[in-house]
Amino acid sequence: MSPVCILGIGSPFAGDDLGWLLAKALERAGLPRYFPAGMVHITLCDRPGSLLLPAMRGARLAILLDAMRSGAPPGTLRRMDMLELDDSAGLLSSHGFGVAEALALGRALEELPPRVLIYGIETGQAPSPPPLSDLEALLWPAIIDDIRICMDELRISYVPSAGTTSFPPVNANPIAGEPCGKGLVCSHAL
Amino acid sequence: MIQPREIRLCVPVLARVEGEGALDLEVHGGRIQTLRLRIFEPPRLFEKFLEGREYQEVPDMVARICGICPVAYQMSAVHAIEGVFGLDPGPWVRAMRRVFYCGEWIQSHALHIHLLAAPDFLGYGSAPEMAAAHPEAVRRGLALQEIGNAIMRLFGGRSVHPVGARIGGFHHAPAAADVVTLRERLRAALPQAEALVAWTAALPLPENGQDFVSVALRHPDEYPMNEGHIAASNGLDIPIAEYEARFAEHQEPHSTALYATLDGQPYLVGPLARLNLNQDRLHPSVREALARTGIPFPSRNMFHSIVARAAEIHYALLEAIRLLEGYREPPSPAVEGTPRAGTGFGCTEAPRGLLWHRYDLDGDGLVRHARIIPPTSQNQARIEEDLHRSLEALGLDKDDEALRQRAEMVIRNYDPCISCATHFLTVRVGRR
Repeated sequence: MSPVCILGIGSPFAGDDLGWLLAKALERAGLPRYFPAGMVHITLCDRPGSLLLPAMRGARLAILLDAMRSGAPPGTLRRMDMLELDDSAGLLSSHGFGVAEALALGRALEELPPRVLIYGIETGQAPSPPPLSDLEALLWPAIIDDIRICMDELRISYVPSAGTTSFPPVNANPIAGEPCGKGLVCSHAL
Repeated sequence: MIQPREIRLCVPVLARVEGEGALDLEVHGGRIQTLRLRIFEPPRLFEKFLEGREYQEVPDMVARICGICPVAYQMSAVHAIEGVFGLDPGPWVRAMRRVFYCGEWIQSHALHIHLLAAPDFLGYGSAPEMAAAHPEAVRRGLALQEIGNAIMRLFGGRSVHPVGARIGGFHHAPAAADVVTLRERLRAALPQAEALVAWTAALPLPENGQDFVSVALRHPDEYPMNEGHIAASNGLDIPIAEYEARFAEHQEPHSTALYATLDGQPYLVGPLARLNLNQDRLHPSVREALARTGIPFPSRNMFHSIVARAAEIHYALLEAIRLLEGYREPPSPAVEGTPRAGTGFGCTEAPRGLLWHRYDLDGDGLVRHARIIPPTSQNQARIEEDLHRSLEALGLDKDDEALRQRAEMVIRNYDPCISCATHFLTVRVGRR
């Protein structure tokens, strides 16, 4: 298991695919290649339920990308630490056992990675997804920082993977759009 | 003089079930006047989506009906279509489909027992609450669930909405080395499964004796999964093609799921019905584990469903191990079929019970008409009947919270899959 696992939660179908689309965008932009080999792994999870726990097992940092319905304006990207997650987060579940339940179960069983971050993307009741390029631009620098902190905690020094020469440029986002400060709740009206 | 209470209870959204539903309960003068299990999840129209599609597309499309029991949908579909083509996929495919199905029973039952049903019996509001007090039990459940998922991944490529099944067999045969590894995991899990039977039987399950008709497949030699006649505890024994002659569906205004009845009466499908009708088809060691519980089967206590699920996990592990002994990769994982016009029927035992499919195909193998009758719509009338009896037995003078808890316990005990049936629980109780 890589020290950092990034999990796109959802399904391949429109309306439930925001987590997947963002995870794919990070993969496409080569995020893992900016870090030492084996440091970062990106996975797509199809409505994992309790299977979320084995999917995160062994990781030091788990980053979940998932749709959210909390009443915020559609397109809002909200970064939450597992420690601050409660019922008001509004993570979506089409079944009886969703991400929030799986995380609560993992916490009760003391089987969670030391750090779990959730990037919730507010969907609201909008028929179409928020502009992905905007979301990607928000996500990239925040996740880079999350991984960098994890590496510092693990005392892993930066050795770039093949094909990269420098640390991922936070302010030169290879995905799209303008960077946004880490941890900010940014809203994009649809 | 005791003033009779008028009760109006609404459970607006039912937790720990698959899908969205609600319960409305009205009690007037100490008697239930209205009891409606409202399934309001929108109809999903899968049968219409299938019309005009090629027969090869059907297994992957119907797998999308349910994230918990996709294999069941695939198996009923492939049997029905192979029936139209007169196609016999042979013993390797037959055996491996059964292993595939064992995986689904194990994962679905382990999930339901540990994360959905057990908190009700142990007095916890949720699985995480229960996990804090019973961590080893929950870890066992997750481990068993993962073993079931491993079987499904081996044959289906992935455990959620697997894609390995096709008309005539599988797209890919597992490698022999992977089967050896899996078989060892299955063997190692047997003590956990046997212990689970005893653990479920030791739960403080309410007494809940009721009269009901059990309906399940019955096979001459096997505990039913993919094949058999439709049998019932009232003596019914018919080929699957005659389902429509004895079972009828009707619409109720409060539900987007159809209600199924047998000769006009509610009936039960699922693990307790299967066990009640097929105890003699279990492996001897499962029968022995059940005998040690002291619970007499056939049982009329609906809450013994959780024990039946545990017994079926034990059985499925043993059956998968047996079927994978001496595994060899076949020359081809599938047999090709030739499309022809006709009507085919498929009926298999999903984790939640009988799953009946009918397909009318044209000469090019295009679906002209599809009919899918999932277990939850078959159990819906039985659940309402059970709720009537269970709540009256509990005592309608109990407070709203006690009634709500018991109602939810009764409903969850059926492991309803509302998403499949939408065609599910918010409880609304009205007292006057």
